[in-house]
Amino acid sequence: MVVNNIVDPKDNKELQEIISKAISQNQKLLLKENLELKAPTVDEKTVVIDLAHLNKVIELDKDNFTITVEGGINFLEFQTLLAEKGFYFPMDTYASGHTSLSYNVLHALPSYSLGEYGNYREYVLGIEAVLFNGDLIKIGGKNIKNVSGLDIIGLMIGSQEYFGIINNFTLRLLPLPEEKQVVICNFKDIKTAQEAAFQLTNKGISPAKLLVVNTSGAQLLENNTKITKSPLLIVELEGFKASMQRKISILQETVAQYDATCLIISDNIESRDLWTIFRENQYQLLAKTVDSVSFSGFYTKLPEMVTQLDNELVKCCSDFTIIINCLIGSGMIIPSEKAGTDWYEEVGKIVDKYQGRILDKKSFKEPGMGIVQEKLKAAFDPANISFFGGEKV
Amino acid sequence: MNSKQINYFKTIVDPKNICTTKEELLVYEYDATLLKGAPEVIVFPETTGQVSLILAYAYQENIPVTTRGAGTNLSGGTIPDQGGIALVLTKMNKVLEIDFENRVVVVEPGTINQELQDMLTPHGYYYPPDPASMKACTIGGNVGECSGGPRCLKYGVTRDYILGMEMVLSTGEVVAIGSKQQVNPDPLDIVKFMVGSEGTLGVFTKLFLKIKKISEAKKTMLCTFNSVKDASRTVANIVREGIVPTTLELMDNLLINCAEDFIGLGLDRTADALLLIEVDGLKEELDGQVEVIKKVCEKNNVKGFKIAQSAKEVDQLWTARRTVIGAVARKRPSYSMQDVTVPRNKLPDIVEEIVNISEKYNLPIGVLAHAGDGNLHPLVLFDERNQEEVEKVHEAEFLICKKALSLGGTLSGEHGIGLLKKPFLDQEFAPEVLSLKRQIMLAFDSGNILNPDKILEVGK
Ligand SMILES: Cc1cc2nc3c(=O)[nH]c(=O)nc-3n(C[C@H](O)[C@H](O)[C@H](O)COP(=O)(O)OP(=O)(O)OC[C@H]3O[C@@H](n4cnc5c(N)ncnc54)[C@H](O)[C@@H]3O)c2cc1C
Repeated sequence: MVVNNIVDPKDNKELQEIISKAISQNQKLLLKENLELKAPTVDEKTVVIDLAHLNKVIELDKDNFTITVEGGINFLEFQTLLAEKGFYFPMDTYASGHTSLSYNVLHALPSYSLGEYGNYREYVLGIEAVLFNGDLIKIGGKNIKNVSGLDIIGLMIGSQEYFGIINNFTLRLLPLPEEKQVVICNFKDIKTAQEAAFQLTNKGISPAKLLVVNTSGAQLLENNTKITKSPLLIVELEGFKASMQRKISILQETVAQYDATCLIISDNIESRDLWTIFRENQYQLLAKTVDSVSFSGFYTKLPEMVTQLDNELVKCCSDFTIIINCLIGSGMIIPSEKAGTDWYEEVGKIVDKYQGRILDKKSFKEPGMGIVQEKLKAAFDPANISFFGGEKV
Repeated sequence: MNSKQINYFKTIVDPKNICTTKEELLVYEYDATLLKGAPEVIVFPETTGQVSLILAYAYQENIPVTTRGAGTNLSGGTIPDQGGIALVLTKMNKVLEIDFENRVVVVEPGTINQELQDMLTPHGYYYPPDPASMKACTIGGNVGECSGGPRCLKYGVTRDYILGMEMVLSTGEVVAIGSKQQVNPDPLDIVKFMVGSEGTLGVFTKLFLKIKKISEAKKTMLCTFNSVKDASRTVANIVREGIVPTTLELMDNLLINCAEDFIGLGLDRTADALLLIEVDGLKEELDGQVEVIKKVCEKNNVKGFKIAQSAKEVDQLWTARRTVIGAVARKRPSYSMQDVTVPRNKLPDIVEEIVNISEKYNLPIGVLAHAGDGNLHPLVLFDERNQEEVEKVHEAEFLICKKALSLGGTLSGEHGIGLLKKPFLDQEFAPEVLSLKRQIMLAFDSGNILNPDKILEVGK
């Protein structure tokens, strides 16, 4: 796709001017990252905003454990920079290497560490944003708690470019954990992997990440020759050195009940590389596929639900990847490029059978909230310049 | 309201659930602030259907509705200052479902926080938000204010534990948003946005809460200091050492003495400040953390450092912390509590200013703080019957808020804006932000009948 109208603001003022111009000239706006995965069709009038120049760290406040940073910074580079300085921002998504901090937060991309580390709202303490009504607003600061009248920060997170662009963040940071270990366990089937994961959530070892993948999903770790291709449980344990050995023992005892074998990766560089490969492969898979679907389910029902998904989907689409974030009971199915559309309906039926939910890709789907949502959109974007706002809410 | 309107409510709820006498109305004029305002009728609904009918009628007739749980809020959030209906949800107080395996609980909004905790504890679970008022306050009120509590430094605030809800909009329409599962189905998280909405956007009738497993072990420390400055510095330094305690609570000398008068634990009455620190996790993680905390305390001239040796001792320390607000009543007949929050390293500055303000106005001000969060509750002690003193309290509180904002802080960390801080809101937010908030409120409640003009002046 050829896109002519890419703009790359150098500062907040320029971003505000771009948005004001779009309002007066009735142009649609979207962030550049949207063109990379499942690109929507964009006409030449549409303004594509590239935040790459807005990538400066404004202040790292070591006393308050906060950082103030421009939103265009690449998400992965941002995390690497923090780690080098001994800080930790625990959100970590499949698109980290390809997208800006702003994009991740505005789209509330699912982090592998959701669960133990909560969600973006717990870390975004302050924002500066240019709304699609042209206003540059500044809310919050370095305060961990703030309930000064309606949570606009919370509303902006996950607003998917319907309301405006966040271009500055003040984020809460955590201390870098003393120790990190990744454990990969091979299971004979996905059901037992899921059951073991469920048990682990009740053992007090608080994994930072707890993923189950089906056999195709194991290929996301393609370069790692030590890993057998079978359903995998991927666990990241982190925290104090003093308790790490016991955490590993609890994990090993739990998975041993299911005859699973474990590979422990204690080396920080090796585990970092493993996640880099995993993320990148998931991203590339998503770039190639016809479509993907995310769902959520009850912890207790996931083993049966995932098993049935794994069994049934083989029949309608030969190759597909399942990734489950067991800490929040949520999963993603990515079919191969050649999959038709039947699989989607099948997923819906199975998820429904186990009282799970298909997660919406687009915002504004809460039932019964139609009018409220229309009015909310009108408050933030009266001229309807959001590219996505073009669709009827 | 006219008698026809009041009588209409008797067709919706059992007449015994309606109060209209002067004496009854008097009881609902108050909350935990000094503000007052009488409702014209008090209605206690028992079902969502009743709430829906009440709101639909109020919407049609343009009657103000002030939603109320236990009325313990500290921002004037339940004062029916425009008359109308006090919609009291204390009869909708059932715990509808506890699902330990899926870690979710479904409650009606009138459920008392402590009663829920008592049902969870024997099974090894808890609901993290723990306001000091937990014995009285309701979960609906906690959600209305996005309440915090001592534990929220490590475990977050109410917002982080609400998965979904059933809610009645101002028109009477019932909606269910979010789900009982751990992920919000819609990227735009309206559920979380409802938390802290102070009764202005809708009335919650069912709440889906996330619960957690109780940690295997914890250690509680009591540290005393010769200056509040040393204690505040200790707070910032502990977090800098890579430790996130479950709680980091601070009390100054005035409050140490109030607590000691009240329950006589043998606290050091001469100490200028006390820190109550708790860490939790796996057994073997704790000693190392305690050691680091002790070193940080020593570096900051700690006077006394003690680790609680038994569960009883831990309980006693927490009782002292939770009851200290009530205990100040022995010093002066009235108190007013602020809720400003500042970046953690600005604690010494704000405390210094509070001491100056206390001297300037000759008013005793006790400092209580969820210090790890930078959230302070200066307690101004006075006599409500002395009008001159009341004026001084207002001035002193305004100065505390101003100072907090000048230090990059916020007006409220957990108590909300309500009526009390409404006059200060434009000191924190630019006109564009206030205008946006107003539009959002009207998007939910076009008639401005729900807690009308609380947080900010909305108009019609
Ligand atoms: C001694 C004392 C100690 C306290 N300690 C703390 C503390 O540690 N942390 C803290 O955060 N707060 C604390 N508070 C403040 C107060 O207890 C909390 O704000 C509490 O959450 C209020 O609950 P409630 O049931 O009393 O609600 P109410 O005071 O009745 O209502 C609070 C707000 O929520 C709204 N509301 C109530 N129910 C609903 C509903 N069903 N639907 C929609 N809106 C609703 C009301 O309109 C109002 O705006 C303390 C108060 C006191 C008196």
